[in-house]
Amino acid sequence: MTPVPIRGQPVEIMERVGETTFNIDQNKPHIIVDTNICKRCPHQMCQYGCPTQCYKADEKDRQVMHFNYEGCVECGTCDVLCDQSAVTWTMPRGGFGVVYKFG
Amino acid sequence: MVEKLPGICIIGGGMCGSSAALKLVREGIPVTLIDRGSPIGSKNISGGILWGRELEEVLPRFWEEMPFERPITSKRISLLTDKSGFTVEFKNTEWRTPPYAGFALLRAKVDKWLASKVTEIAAAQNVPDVNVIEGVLVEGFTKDHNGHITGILQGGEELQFDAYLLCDGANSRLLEDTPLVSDTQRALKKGSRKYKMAHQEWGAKVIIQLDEKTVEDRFNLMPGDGVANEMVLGFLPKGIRAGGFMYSNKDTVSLGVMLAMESAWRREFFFRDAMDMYVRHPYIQPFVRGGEEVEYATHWAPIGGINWMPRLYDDRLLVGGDTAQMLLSTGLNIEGMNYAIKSGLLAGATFADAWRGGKNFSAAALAAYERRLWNSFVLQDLAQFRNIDHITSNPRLFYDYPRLIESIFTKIVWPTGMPKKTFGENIGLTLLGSGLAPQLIGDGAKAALSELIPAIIARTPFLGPALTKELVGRRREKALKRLYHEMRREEAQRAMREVEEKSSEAPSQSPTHAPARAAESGGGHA
Repeated sequence: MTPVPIRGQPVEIMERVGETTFNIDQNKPHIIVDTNICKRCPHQMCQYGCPTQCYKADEKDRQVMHFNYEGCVECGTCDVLCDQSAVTWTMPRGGFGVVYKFG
Repeated sequence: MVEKLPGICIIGGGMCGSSAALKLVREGIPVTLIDRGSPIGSKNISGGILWGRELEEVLPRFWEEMPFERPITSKRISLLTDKSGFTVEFKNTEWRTPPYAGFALLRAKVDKWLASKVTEIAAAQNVPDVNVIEGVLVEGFTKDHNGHITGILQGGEELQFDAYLLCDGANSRLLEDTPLVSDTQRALKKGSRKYKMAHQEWGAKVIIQLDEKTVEDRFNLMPGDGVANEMVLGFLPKGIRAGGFMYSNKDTVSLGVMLAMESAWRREFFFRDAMDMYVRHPYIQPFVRGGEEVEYATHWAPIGGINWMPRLYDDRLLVGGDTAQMLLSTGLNIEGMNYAIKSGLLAGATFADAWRGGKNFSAAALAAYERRLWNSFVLQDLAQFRNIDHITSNPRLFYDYPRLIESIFTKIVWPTGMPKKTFGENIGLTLLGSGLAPQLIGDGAKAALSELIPAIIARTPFLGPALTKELVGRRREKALKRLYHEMRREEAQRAMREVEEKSSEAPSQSPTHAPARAAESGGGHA
């Protein structure tokens, strides 16, 4: 439950993601990112496209990409935006991942 | 281990899958519906309006039971700029009572209910071997030596059914694994982001909790009224094409953004900021202020339409709904669920015929599915509006035209303390001042032609339908070829560059394209 942001106050994205329910698969990440490829990526669009900030460039070195699958809502945007074959995208195992209560 | 099971296997428990299952159960045919979400519906997202009453074929007067939010009685179209909003509303008070035009709904509730109807009706009609399985992911297919599907893989086991319906949504991972997609398409899916972006639009949505009375007051509704409000988001940076929607639910509001990924391919803009800017927009604030955000969801909308549709049938396999790009987005109508339901029903009918015809599920028998779709509104609509992307992907529509309307209406309404100009002068002067008059005329003509030409072709006596099919098929081939050559050319160029870089490598400057500007832009665009 996040109050609706008022004008001029952007909402922290992780706060918004926190509204959504997840059943995280601790044993098996469903997306695997080869971050070595990211070091040579000319655009790093994944961090701009990901709706839940699963992709985050390192604050010190922008070419280092950090990936965390735990807030992933399985939209597949990173798979579309990555044209460097760094993203291996599969569905989470049955029953795991995001659980929408409203939809 | 191979396990043989009777009947049809439906992969995906959304609108298409559940409708197909209901159709089959009504025909007394065994069916297994598999969904990866637990409970069914927990992975399913839509903007939130189901138009039409296709479900009546399997569930007469379904609205008496369906847990929908509100019937839709008015449609609003808005053009937003950073400080203004221009809205037209059409309200038909007759739509308060059945037959309804459409329903605002939330998929987690409705899809769960729809899937539960499958087992309920199977029990009532004594249909054997009907299963609804939730929380199970179909991991892949097994195939015969010609590449046709013979079974599904799940947990290391192979399950074999008589036939399969693939409807696992816009982000289908299984479609690539079927013969419905050609090798060219598979290669493009791997290597061409343009190809991928032609299929999908990026969507995000927040559900905002208010209470019933507040929703009714703010949206100007009687109990039992509902609003579907679609918007052009002209407040985003120039060139970014995005639309928004705001739907009134019972005691919540669905607020969402659809964004053309290709237009936002720039390193200064976070897609999710479009959602944030939308919620905080001064036009939207009065509707949602004081509410609580209770869910944030994102999903693709398959905007490829008929131009990027996969093949629809193969031996023992049909495809429907979002997976087959069956969504109509004209700017004025955005409909997907009714197309999914209709395709599911027609797939069910096709399977039922094949079942009764000696269980012949060959491609030749299942080809009836495509014929049925062509005889229904599904493919006819998608074909009629096949050129609509020329209009809806026009960047002027999203930036310049909302501003033009803003300035015309500001001139008409804003009291200057001077004698008033005539309407004609106001409109004419604004157009002249903006320098957009020729483009406006051109875009108008283009819009008219894009609608007119397919209509004329389709209505040609005798030849019309065949001609339309032929043209659609050719255009698809041509577009595929073009993208494929483009991808190959780019690959070759990249390879050349890499060779050059290697031969003249300077170790001190290793990241060649450091995105310097991106660092500062951060999150906020307020």
